[in-house]
Amino acid sequence: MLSNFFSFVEDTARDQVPMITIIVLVLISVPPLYLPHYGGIAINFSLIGLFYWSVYKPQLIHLFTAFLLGLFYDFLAGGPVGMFALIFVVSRALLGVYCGRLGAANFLSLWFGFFLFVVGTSFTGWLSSSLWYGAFLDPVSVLFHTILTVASFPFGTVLLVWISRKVYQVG
Amino acid sequence: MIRLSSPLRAVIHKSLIFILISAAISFMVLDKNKSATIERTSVVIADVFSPILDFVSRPAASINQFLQGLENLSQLHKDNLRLRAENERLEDWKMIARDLGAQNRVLKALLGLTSDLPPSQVTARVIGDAAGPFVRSLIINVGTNRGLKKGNAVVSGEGLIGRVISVGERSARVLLITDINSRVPVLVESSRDRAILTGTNVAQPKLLFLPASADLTEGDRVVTSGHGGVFPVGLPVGTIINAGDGNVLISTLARLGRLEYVRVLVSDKITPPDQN
Repeated sequence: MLSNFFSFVEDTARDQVPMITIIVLVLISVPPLYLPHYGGIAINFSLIGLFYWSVYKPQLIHLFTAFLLGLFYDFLAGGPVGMFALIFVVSRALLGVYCGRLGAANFLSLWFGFFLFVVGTSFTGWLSSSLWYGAFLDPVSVLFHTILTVASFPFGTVLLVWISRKVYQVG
Repeated sequence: MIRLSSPLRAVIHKSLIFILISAAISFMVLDKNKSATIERTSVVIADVFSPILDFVSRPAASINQFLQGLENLSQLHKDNLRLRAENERLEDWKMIARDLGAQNRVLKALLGLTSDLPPSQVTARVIGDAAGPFVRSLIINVGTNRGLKKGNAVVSGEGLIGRVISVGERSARVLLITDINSRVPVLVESSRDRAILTGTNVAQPKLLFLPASADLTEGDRVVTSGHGGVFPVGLPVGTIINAGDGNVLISTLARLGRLEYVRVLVSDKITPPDQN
């Protein structure tokens, strides 16, 4: 009886790991790095988490979870509230369609998939925030933000693969 | 527990994406209309997570301090020579300032003029600034616990950086002067021309609503004019870097990309006792 209970708790905790890692990635995306002009082009580490878990553990990132995580990012980053909730939901839905193909791909193809994903999220963010502010935002900082986020993918993936191996014995 | 029939569950699952997209857009509309609930939620979330942000930002702050220490060390001899020369120059200025101060006091007394008391200041640490390309704001580690209020001006050692737009108990959000929503009444120090400093989400904000006859030169200092009552008069903001073709750009004096500590001017306008 007690072992069943502990097994249930362990399974439930294990199922929350993707969500918790994305929350942690949001929390490390926001603090300052004290690099000149970094704040305006800062890497969004949570996109790496959302992409990785949507590809390898899509059943653990529900659409509603993606919505809440996006909302959490919005509230913490201070931009238009709802923008990243929208981006996360649409991203999760699209990645759900392609997760089989991306999950079987080699690292370079996966990275290319992430590149397309970040280009899509950056463009959606730029367009929706420009509509929200009623003025077109500077596309150059969005471009640098995209480049930095794509470039950081291998580092983020190393950490997430390590977590996958520890928690799910896969990755 | 209510069990839904399979077809109903399938319909809900299929329509969930549209429900969530609609919810996200509704949040954006509510935020655009300055919903108090959205603002309150944002404040609570920043407050709850501010200790974690404070903790996470410490290693980067330590590395930054170490690097700045090395940078200062390499310039020690050069800085020493420069500071000695500057000290001699400032000694002359000190004498002039004393004379002018005495004259000013006498003339004010003659005219019966009174001035606002300088606002008190609270020092805060920046615990969040990497908001990405869609917003220019900071999270600082003080809030109502240290007397902060919405609208307080925030400065660094060099000049104005922004104003407080939301306050929690232990944290506050600062809208930088470079944010697209920022509007600051300013004047050009030399010509006394008034304008509105407007952020554009890039490093250099621009001056709008300058008079057609404005006489501007690159390098002119821009300070707050105090109109509207949000910012005190005379806070240094930046210098003009492009005065031509109707697009007047400002280089901010504060290094907005490398802020570690800031000062919040917390007091309301204080009426001196003799004005009552």
